Amino acid sequence: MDPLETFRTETEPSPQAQDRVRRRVRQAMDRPKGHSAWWALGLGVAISMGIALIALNQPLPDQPIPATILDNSQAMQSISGGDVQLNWQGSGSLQGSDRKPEILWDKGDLSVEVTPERGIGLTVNTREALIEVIGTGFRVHRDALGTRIDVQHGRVRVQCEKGEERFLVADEQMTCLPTSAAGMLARARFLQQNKQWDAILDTVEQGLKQAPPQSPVAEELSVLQIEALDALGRTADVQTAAQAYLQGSSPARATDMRRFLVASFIAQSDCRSAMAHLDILMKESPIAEDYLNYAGCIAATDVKSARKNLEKSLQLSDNPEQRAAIQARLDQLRNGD
Amino acid sequence: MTTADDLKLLTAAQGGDPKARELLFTRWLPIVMRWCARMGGPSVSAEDAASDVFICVLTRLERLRNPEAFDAWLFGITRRTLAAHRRRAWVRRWVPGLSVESDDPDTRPDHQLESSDTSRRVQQVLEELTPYQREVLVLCDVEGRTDEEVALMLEIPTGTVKSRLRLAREAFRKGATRHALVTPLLVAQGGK
Repeated sequence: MDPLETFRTETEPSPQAQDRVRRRVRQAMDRPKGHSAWWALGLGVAISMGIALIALNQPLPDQPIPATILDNSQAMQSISGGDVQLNWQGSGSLQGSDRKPEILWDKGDLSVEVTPERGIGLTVNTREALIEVIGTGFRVHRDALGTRIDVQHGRVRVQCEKGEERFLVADEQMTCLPTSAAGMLARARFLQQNKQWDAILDTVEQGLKQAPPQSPVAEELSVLQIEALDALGRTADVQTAAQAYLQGSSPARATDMRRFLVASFIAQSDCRSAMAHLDILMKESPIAEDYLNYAGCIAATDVKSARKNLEKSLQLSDNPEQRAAIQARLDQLRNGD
Repeated sequence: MTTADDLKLLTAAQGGDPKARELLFTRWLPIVMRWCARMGGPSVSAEDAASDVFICVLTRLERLRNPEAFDAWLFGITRRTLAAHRRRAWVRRWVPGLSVESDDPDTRPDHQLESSDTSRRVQQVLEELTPYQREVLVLCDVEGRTDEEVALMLEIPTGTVKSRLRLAREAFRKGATRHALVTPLLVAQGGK
């Protein structure tokens, strides 16, 4: 595809994006407009008050904050002379100084309240995001899905590791996705708990672009990719991906891949292709399903061998339901059915 | 291009008709968002910039003297807004710790834009062009406007559009090669 065509397509504004802009413009236009004289008066008052405040208020002394571990329990802490309140349930660390506190947030929930107009430049760093405070209250949640930032009031600047800079205001939120292949793997595994296969496949494919070929992470991502393709019913893609994987120099998850291939071939009644992989599996580290599948494939042509394989399957199986089914099938074969 | 329908809407909107203002906004919003996304570069949020453009447009609509040239007027505002956003982004990048805030604190998106590697590379190549070259390339080759339309929008002679476009394509071709992009645009073509 022509790159300019791709660019044209991907820079088309979505209806959601248009709605967001429409909403913001309306909000801005709905704000009451002040008369210029009032503006001038207000500005004068503000300047006078600012001067007075500077004269009266000593700036916050910038004492270094001793490096502190924010441990994995639920806790709260007040820093910067009470101008910053931290509440957390998770883990991270705190360093910097009273005027520039720096939090490295590892996982869990962190809520931050910063008194505005006190010259405090607090930052929260996670693996995926840099969040900079401009006098506000916000919440950071980090887990395997990424870093999510919810702003309660005020505004924050968020810079995702990969992505443009954003300002968020009250009630806005965003999630910075993991950026490393390992992070993508963690996200995909997290999504696996809820069987979100489309999202898993998308995450895995992004991770595979970054993972060094044949690295342990790439191996795990490949297995997850095939599992997702299988769950989405994309049988042909499962076979293509698994066979491509098996052609690698030393595929660590070859056994798993072969079992995916066997399942997909059997689903297509292609016993011939399935048996090529079953032969290898049975020489290496067979499990009950391998013997069961093998027996099913040869039952029509070699009953004796099918029976033997069913017996082996029965020996290896520790699943009561499966054992009962194997036994029933074995009885049928012994009775000549 | 400003159509007869746009002119009717503009007349009504300038007369204070809120429905006409809304329709005008709705019609031109996607166009402005495209300009912002395509010409703003990676450091500028297209949504932020488009919001600022429309706040300016809706505030100053009554001052528009030549409704026939609405698209040129709108493009001029977009161009200036993008320049301001680029400056702010530059300052933020080069003066660590200094927070330069945008004009409108409420214009903040709540999602991350995702784009392919190809689009990012196209954006990088566009960033390497001069602003004039970027404009004509985006308007002619990305958006498919004719040289004449672009001349009216940019308020320059058609011949100038053609020469800028020729230089822009040449520069884009070189940049695309550096960024390993293969594009049919590289076949030299005249104006449409």
